[in-house]
Amino acid sequence: MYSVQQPSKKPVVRWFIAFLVLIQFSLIWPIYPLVGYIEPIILGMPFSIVWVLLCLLLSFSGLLAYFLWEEQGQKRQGQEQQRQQQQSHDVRAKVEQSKILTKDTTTNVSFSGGVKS
Amino acid sequence: MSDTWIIVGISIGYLLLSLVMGIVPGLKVSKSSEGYVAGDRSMNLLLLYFVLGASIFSSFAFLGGPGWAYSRGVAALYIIAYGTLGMVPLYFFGPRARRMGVKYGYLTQAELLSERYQSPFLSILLAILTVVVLIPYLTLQMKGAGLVLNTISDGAIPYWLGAAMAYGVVLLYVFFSGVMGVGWTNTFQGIFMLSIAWFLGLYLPKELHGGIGPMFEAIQQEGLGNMLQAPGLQSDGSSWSWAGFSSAVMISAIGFSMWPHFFMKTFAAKDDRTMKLTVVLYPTFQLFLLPILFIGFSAILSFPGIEPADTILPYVLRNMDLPVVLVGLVCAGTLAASMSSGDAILHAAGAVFVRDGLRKFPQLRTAMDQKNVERKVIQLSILLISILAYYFAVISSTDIVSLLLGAYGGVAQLFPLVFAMFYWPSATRLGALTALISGIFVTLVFLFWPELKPWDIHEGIYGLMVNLFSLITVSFLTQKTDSSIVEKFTHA
Repeated sequence: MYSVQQPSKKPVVRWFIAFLVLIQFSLIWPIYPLVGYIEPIILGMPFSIVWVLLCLLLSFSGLLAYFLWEEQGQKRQGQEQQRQQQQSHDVRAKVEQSKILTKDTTTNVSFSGGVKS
Repeated sequence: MSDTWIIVGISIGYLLLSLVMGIVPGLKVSKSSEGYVAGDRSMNLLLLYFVLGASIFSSFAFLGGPGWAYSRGVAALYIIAYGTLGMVPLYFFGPRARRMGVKYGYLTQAELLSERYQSPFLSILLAILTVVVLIPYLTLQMKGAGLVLNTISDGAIPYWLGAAMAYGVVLLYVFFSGVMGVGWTNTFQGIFMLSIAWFLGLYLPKELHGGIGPMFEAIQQEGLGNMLQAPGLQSDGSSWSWAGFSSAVMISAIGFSMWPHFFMKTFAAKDDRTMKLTVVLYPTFQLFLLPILFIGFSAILSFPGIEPADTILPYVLRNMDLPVVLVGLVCAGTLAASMSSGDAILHAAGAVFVRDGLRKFPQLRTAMDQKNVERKVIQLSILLISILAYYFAVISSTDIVSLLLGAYGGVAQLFPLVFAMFYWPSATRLGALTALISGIFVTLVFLFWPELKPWDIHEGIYGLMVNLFSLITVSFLTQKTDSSIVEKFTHA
């Protein structure tokens, strides 16, 4: 039921998890050994330190983006539901209205019938 | 002499402030266990952020962190590396656990696990393991507090009194206010230690070397470049292997969110959004370790040869001509780091011991179901646990702190069980029990006999391999768990 409701959610979750795995491996073997040197020095810090900070920053941005995306999705879903409810409400109202109308016509008919007789 | 008393005065002022901050908020929550253990499930973002942030940064952060950077160079980055993603599992598990807590009244991690795997034995096992691991952890925090007050007062406050003062305050607010006491004091202590850490981390390199850039340049020029080259050094001064570094980061990242005093805070979150946002904002807390490491780096050339390396921060403070008020504030900041972890650990140990241990015995359960009896039993356990930890910290010479060495490897063994609880319907009781027990067993074997390891990787990784293998094979071989129970979790 979960996946039926949100067909678009699954690929994003997969990308997000792939992103997290990439970050994790950037902090250890095999990616960190490729870049964990002293040069280039940035802001006075050896690159081995800068790299870890970059990963921290990247994971923070990724998490924040995913959180906002999820939250927006929920909002959209909420609006969707509201619209659906609104629609079904409208339909019901129309049905009710038409019922009243038909009732009116029948009474009218019976009334006019009564007059006729 | 008068300088010493100014420093001690600032520390005592800090302790009193912590006491007030800790006692007052507890008056607002209900007198039930739910109020005492999970703050009536009402924690907002600010509280939860600081509870989770400050409880992980213990006296290790202020004493061990600089010590690592001082003696092992960038190997200390390991702490930032595992924390970067260590919290992320709670983004997924946290909201589910929280919703189940609201629905069924759960307050601890083991309550979830024992329901999913239908095993009171699992619950009692986890309760015992939790207490066995948390007591040395608490002992370590007490030792840190005692050490700091003792060194900074030039011995005027004996070690036993320092530990007793700091943890007397902790005991008081945890005893009376439960988790809300932990929450508000951690917020105060967290802000306090963050400010101190940033100030010191920028001030010391400037004072000793003229800035961060010149500091690293000087280290390199002195021929210590290998300290700055990832992954840094081992404690004996030789280069750390990539396998050693990577596996240590992995196992700590996996174990991070599984700590019982950490995971159970998900039940205190006000709503799912708060829980998720806390995880999202967590890296901002991690960043605070950077200045902490700078403290250690700044001392490498200026104060060589200090043993043990953990005492480098108090040593620097005593041997530099720093304004006395600053020394007092740093001293209080270190106490804050120790206490903000100690309180959460003490509280969790008591709560887990009663909820997951004692309550699983039917006779005790009926007795505790009476009004607020359970809360009183938890309070009593908290008192006993702190006395026991104090005994190990001050009186006994048993080195129980080395128990902690195996703790991260052991705690990580919970991860497959928690993951399968929510995402793998086929996991069974026997699968979970064999996985946990075999995982911990293997971890301990390789911890005590490291020469048996086939490769030089963290013992917890071996444990985890055996753990996963047993979980999967045994689960396939045994009777499935009732689907009505499993669905409560997979659809949570």
